[in-house]
Amino acid sequence: MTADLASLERLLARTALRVRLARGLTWGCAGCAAAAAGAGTWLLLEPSARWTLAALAPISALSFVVGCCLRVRRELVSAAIDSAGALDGRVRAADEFMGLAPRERTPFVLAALRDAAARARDVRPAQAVPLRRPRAAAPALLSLLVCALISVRPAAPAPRPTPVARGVPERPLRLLASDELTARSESARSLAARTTSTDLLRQLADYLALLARLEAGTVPQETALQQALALESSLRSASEQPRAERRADADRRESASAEVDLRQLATELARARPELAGALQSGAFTEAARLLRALAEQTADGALEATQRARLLAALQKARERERERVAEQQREQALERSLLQNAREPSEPSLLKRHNEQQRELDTLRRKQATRPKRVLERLQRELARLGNALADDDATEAQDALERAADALDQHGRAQHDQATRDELARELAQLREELQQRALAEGSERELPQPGQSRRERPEGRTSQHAGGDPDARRERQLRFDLEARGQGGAALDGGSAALDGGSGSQLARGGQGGAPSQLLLIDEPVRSVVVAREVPAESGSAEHDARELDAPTRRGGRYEDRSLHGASAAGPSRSQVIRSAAHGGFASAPYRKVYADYRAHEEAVLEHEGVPAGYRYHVRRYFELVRPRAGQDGHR
Amino acid sequence: MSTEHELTTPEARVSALLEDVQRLYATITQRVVGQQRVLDGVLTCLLAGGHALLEGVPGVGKTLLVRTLAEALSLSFSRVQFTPDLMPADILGTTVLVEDKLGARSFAFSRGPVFAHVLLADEINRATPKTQSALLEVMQEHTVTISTETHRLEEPYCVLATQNPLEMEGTYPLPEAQLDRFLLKLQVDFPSREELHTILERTTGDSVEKPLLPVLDRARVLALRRVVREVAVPRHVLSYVVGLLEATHPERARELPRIQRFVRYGASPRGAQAILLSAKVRAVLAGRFAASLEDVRAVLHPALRHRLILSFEGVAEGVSSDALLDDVLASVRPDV
Repeated sequence: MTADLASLERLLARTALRVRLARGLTWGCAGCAAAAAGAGTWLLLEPSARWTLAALAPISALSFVVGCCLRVRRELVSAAIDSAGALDGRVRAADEFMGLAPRERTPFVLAALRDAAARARDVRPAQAVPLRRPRAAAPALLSLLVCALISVRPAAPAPRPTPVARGVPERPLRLLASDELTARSESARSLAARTTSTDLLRQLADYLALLARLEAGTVPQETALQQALALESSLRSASEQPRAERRADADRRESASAEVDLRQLATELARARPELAGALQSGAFTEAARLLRALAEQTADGALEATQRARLLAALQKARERERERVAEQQREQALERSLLQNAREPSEPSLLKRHNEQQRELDTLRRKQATRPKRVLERLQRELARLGNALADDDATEAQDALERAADALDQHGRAQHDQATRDELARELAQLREELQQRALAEGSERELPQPGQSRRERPEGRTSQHAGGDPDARRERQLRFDLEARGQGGAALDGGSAALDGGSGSQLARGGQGGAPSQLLLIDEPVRSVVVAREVPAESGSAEHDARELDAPTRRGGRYEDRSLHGASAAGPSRSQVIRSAAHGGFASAPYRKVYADYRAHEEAVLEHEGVPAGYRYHVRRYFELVRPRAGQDGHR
Repeated sequence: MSTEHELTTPEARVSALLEDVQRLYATITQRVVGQQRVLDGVLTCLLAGGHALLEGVPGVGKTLLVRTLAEALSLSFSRVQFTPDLMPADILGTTVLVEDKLGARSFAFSRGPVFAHVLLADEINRATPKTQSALLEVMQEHTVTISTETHRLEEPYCVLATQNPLEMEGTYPLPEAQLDRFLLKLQVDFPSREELHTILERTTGDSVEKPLLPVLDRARVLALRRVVREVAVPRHVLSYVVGLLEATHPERARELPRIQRFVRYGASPRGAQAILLSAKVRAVLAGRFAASLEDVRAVLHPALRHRLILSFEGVAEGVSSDALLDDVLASVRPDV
């Protein structure tokens, strides 16, 4: 018995080995086919990458090993032996019985084991699992053949250089003059000395490191360009993202408004504190903050003369009066504008009137927001100055000192923010100039390699968009670009209509696509060669919009299209007929309430007929069975 | 004919069983032509201890086959022709008043025709449901209860019923509870051309039908039944049977839309017992000591076709249980 079982175990093990081998071959061929297909594709794209052919053998071998090492289910092995020897599941059953404990083996189980061992003796593993050619063999061979053909094809002619897509040789070279790089480094260091922002300091340090590498000539041109691009993109991400751009734009407008207010304040202070007025007039906010702190110390020490205090108080009160007048004037203008709009366009229909009022409220909210936004920066300063005025009026020296110090802080903060933004803009300009000069030098050296473009890396550019890039004096282009950049930032007054607008930037074309009217939206324009990001506020479209034009918010919706009035009349009916109910029940299930009613009617009729008429017993059975089968089922409402 | 105590090893017992069955086959085929599948089914019921329902058009040899089997076994045999006016007492027996020699009167139980080893219930669907129901206890418990007295039937006990699927007039389809008590439902097909030739030659000549010699006695039949019960069943075969049975239930057969649509109730656990016992018989008749997946597949249709209760839609569409069981077989995979 033991010998029989041992022989059966050996047979199972040998067959399992062949199963592994067969699976390894299948997997190996499949892996080879896949690898060859991948290598062929790669060779087509990059003819020099012949090393990919060398990877075929390891990949195939690895696939073979993985296929061999995966677990083999004994059921499959025993089923294969049963199938090969026509043993009717004897080996499969014996394989299972071998796992039973000896006491669980009944005489018939032992007999089944003996029977299986005796009959499986004639079965050879090769019979059970013949090693056939794997199905993936043909695709693998075909893929290998294709790979071989691709690898021995003649080298394709070098692509004709386009006027724009020229590159830089992959070798370190001195691209710019040493004194020019030194001048740039010094400029960057002076910027770093003036800035306080850690992000900006880090970016300046990167820029200085890049300049140093360029000066040493240890960095390849392409790497230098990529690093310059990375620095530019990090600068952009800090200040030129759409949302950040909107915020910066608002801040610039706030700054402009703040400066106007500060100059007005300076006019008022001219007599009281001439040096402070001068600092505010000239925009030297740090100096103004220093003077305010000195004034605070004087106030605390009681060193401020009564006349000086009176003048300062008068100046502050005058400034506050003027601010109140300005705000009251704005409110009067808005109220007047609203009343005019209402009188001119108030609709007569109630529904339109309601909609009109809603739009009016929205308009008011929008205008209120627009009116309050520019004053955000100066609010703190004005608040503190108002407190100073109150403190001076109450002769409260401590409160006056605190208010003056807080006002100095606000001025300091404002000055720092303005300075950081200016430094960032200057660094971005420096980087753009450096990158452009690198490109120009590379073009002058006649390299055939394509330069990386912002957002485009090494891809070829469409013909229509690159044709304008060639030629041009770098200085003139830089100047044009700077002008375009300034205009795009709102300083040159560039405005785009809602449909679309094309701007000629000198070194390429910029295409701006606006929305189709509606609420004002932001536009993002990208000047590709120099990568200046331009943000402009879009004016709503004149037509083609589902929304109102902002200028016609008070007007009712006009119906431009043709329409037709129709009156619809309902018809009274008795609901679905019996046949309709039965038909729908047959399709949708016997669970509907109408079907229950119909069934109850028919069931009553059936009972009456079976009771009163001489229906044969066999027919009675069928009729009852039929009605039992078509009885209403429990529906969603749980009724029967 | 070997006696059981002489046979100790399973190999010897199975070998003896095969010899006996071969002799039985040889005897029956002296009179019955063809119908090998039906004969296998009837022998399966006999060896597994179940009952068989033979369904076929008139004249295809249903009654002859059963009568011949009973004759080939030295067992008591009775035949009941079911008619609409047949009463339960007519088949079970009744209590009658008897008078002894001294004139004393008493009640005594007079046994009906069910008290036999092999009962042929011919055209069982002609009797009323009341009479049909009288067989429920007999078929399941092998007992007859009259009044307060229960009478046990002698083993082996086997009911072989026939029914005609064509005639509807005056027939009463068997209730589900009774259908479930039949181990197998066998379709008796029309004989083939060659078989028809042989039938005509045998039955229309002047040869007198010779009586058959019984080849198996009662004890031997019981011994064969014990052999069948001892056949081993691997775990994977058991799981397969359970999977098949579950697949006949609409609420569990999620991947079988036809079962969900056309079946109202699936097969009962008796169905699984019937499959497994029949598979054991098939295995032992093939000289094996363990049932296999193929045995299960072979007996699935006769074991379950009468246990599927079709829905209204299934009846209306004329869907056959065999077609649904084909779906079940195709969808349920053994754990290989």
